[in-house]
Amino acid sequence: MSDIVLAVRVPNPAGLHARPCQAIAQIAQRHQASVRIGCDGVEADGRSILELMTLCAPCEATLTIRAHGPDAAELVQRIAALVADGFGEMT
Amino acid sequence: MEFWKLFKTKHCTTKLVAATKEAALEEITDLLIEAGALSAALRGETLKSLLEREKIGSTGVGSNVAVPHVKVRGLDRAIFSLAIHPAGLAWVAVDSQPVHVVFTVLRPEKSGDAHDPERHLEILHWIARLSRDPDFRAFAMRVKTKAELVGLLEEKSAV
Repeated sequence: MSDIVLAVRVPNPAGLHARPCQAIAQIAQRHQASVRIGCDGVEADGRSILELMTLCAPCEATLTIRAHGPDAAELVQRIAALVADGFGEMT
Repeated sequence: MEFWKLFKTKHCTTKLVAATKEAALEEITDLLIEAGALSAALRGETLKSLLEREKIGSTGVGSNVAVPHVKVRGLDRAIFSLAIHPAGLAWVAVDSQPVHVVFTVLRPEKSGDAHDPERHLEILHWIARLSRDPDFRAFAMRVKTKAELVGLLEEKSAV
């Protein structure tokens, strides 16, 4: 089984702060696949809010979502959609 | 950056006694008002923001740490507090463990001279890095005074 990888830009002005990290981790924890989120050469476990917070990804940063497992494709799509939506902070 | 300096001694405590996370957030808010960091006029708005944030999802990020982190309408600069609950508190944390270490971050609604989103992310990064450090957590749960607590932040910032 190969990894599913997708890159997505962070559109919200506040970037990947605590609440978006929590939102990603919540999605990741509901899936079987493992997922790692990368930014600027640093990677974090998508299930760990604390690890995600260490990415320090600002607005316009590119996140690389890399998942592996039975529902990896769905997991990547869900996280990508969340990020692309600016974590609901764009309105 | 010496982010530990953002945590003024009088904004911190090693003696949270609240029995619920809601009461703990109230205790921290009142501490910040008593310390002169937060206007009493913003007490209601601050508590509303903190409690609504917990409804969206618990700020218990695991490893006995919570990071309540909210925008507060009317606030003109970010305020940082570190509070220790020696007995531990149920926080519906991601790992279901009790919370002993509470990093509270109140920030203004809008970006400006007193609030830069990128710098804010760097501060959160620093908080997350500290929170993942088992030594930091172990020592933070054992310190007896707020001065020792802020000293620990300084010491860990130098590592």
